[in-house]
Amino acid sequence: MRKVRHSELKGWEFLSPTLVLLLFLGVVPILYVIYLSLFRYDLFSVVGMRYIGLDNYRKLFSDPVFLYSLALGLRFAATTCVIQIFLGLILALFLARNFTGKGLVRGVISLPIAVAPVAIGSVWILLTNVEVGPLPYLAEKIFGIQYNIGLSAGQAFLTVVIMDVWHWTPFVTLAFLAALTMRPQEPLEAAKIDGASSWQSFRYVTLPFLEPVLITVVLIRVMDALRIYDEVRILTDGGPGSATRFVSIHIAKMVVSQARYGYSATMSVFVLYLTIVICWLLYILISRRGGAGATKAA
Amino acid sequence: MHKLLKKRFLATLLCMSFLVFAVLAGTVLAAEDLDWWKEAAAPYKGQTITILGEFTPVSEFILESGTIEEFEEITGIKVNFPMATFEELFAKLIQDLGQGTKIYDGANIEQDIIFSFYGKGWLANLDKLMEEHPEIIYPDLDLPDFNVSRNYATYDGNLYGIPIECSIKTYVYRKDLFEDPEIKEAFKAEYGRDLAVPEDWHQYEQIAKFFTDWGKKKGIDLYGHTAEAKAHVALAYELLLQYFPPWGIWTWGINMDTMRASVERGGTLDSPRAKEALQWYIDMLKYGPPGVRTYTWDEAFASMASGKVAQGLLYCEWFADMQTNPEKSVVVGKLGTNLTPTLPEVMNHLMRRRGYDEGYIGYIETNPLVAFEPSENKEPTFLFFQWLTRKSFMTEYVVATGNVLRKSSLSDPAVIELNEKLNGYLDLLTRYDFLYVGSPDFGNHATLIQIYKSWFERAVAGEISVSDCLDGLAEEIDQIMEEMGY
Repeated sequence: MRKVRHSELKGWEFLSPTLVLLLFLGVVPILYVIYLSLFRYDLFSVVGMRYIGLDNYRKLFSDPVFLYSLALGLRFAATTCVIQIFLGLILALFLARNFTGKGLVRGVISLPIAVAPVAIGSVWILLTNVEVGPLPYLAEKIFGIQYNIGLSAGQAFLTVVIMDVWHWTPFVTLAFLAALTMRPQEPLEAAKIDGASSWQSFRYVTLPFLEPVLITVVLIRVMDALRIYDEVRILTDGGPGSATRFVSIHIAKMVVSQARYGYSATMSVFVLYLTIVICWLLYILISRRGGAGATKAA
Repeated sequence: MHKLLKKRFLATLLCMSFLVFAVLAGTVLAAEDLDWWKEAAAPYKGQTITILGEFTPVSEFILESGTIEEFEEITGIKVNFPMATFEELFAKLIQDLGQGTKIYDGANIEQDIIFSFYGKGWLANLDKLMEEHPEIIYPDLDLPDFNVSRNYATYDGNLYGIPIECSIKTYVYRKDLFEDPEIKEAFKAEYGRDLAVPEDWHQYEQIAKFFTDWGKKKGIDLYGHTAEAKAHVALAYELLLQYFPPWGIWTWGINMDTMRASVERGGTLDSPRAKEALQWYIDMLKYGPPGVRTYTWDEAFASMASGKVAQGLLYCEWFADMQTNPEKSVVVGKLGTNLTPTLPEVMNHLMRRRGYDEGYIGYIETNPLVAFEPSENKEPTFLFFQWLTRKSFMTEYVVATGNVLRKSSLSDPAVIELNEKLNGYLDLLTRYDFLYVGSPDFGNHATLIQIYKSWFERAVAGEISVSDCLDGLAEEIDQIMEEMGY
């Protein structure tokens, strides 16, 4: 049996308050939600709380409304993450260069991150209002398009995507920019001496260097996109019809408005599980590809 | 001449003495009144009560009128009166009452959801409270003086709330446009009949089309219809409370005996009549302003107040504002109200057989103030409710809000004057209150309304057909009713 050293014990002693806090604030609520998911528990039911085992989970896979909102949420997450990472990388590469007014441009680009999601939703309500908003007016005047997010499901989805991209691309940009600023110049200079083109320098030197940041950004953005709520709740409230009823909106409506605690808990547990699985798969995928790229570069 | 002067002098003296006596008597009464409040509140002096209000014109009036401060000054009871939107209010209350945190002692609660709270045993029985504490019953409480609103705060013969809001959702129209000679002439030329407030849906549709076309023709921002068609709970309430009843689909299409919605189980929700009504509602949206599918109750009100709509079915809790407040409306003095149009056979049926069980044509909004059973401050809370609804405050209340709670306030000259300004709306409210009823008593109201919403919004957006919507909806309602033990 391994002897525990005094210094190790001291370390656990110091860690214990944080661990207890994490246990109560992080683990206990999740365990409670898992526990609730095994019950039929509707606040306004006259039959009370009943243990039903895995029935809620079985029901979940045959619930078309839940499956639809889950698919919609995944579609939204995939669309926004790809666009944000692409745009964020381009902007970061642009801002990493030296030019006059760089500080000002960086400041302006970062502004949307500072705005509260509720305020973003409210601003976009005004922008897209059919009767007074500038976007429907300009869409009609310039492109001859009838832009009405209360009427068109496609336009509503697209608007929510654009709103999210506008809100979170600066975050992606700043993350990449931080990594680019830390990038050592020697490998780039060596590549230049070896006759590498700009694209080759980017593909085989810069990109592998950005890999850890890319993984972090992708994971954060995927998790964020899957749980998007505030902006969409304010702007469309899931509509028109169910065009923007993402899974987070759907769960919130079930738990807050309908007070169906048992079934909502099941949905929450499943979405948490799915998010973890997706993030793990993405991590594996990106790190393997990145690793291959890095090896090639070496 | 001298005699005449003497007589006039005596008459003047008599009048003045009478006035002085009346003023003195009033002062004495007022002083006695104040003494009663002070005495009744004495045991609760220094306590704080928290009453959650909804963002409505009535709540805003209560906050702005200074009556809370007056109550605090007289009684020494501190009152917190925070406000929340309809959905927030519901969420806050079920969190508080469900978890037993006792943040709120009472609330101004929508009639729609009160039965859910009653079913959970969260509401304080005011009859019991009065029996236990007769010393806190205001001598002039006069419960029978409350109008129909009192019925919606009474369950199983016991009083669970004191009414604080009472208005109807009904047909509102631009009286000035309906009386415009050019418009009247154009309408008659097109439809071969006089332009008049519609009695049935066919007439309503003609008028809607006419005004939308008129707006286009004249190049003005005018439409013949408004609605609350956003993917929002307002849509479900509008259809269930305002559009289905005049088509003869009552109690949300649910049979109150079997508690089921499908036709095969006694309901009417998937009946041909309900499908006709929903289809008509969707078809009518083309006559509304371009943004009508983004409207909830707020925007529907704003569309009328901004002068861009000629007619619509609106919550009249805002009607006094629209008709009298130039800061909130550009159509001050230009509006009229009338009974909601119906199918002709529905109105004939209702006028023959008056009564809730026989059906209704629209919604009466009768929010009561309720005290919560877990609260330890029920007595001061009840005192505050009586303070807000005391007779001497009612004239100011009616004039400011256009809501009517007490029958006695209707004879007040200021209220009569307001009724004239509102083009007879208060008459409509009191004369036809039997045609407008509140939501049915569903204990699982909160769950049901969201299910209705989720189906209606998809039909309105064109994702599913009207027939699929109501068939699927009726099936899900039956299923959830069964699951929840109803």
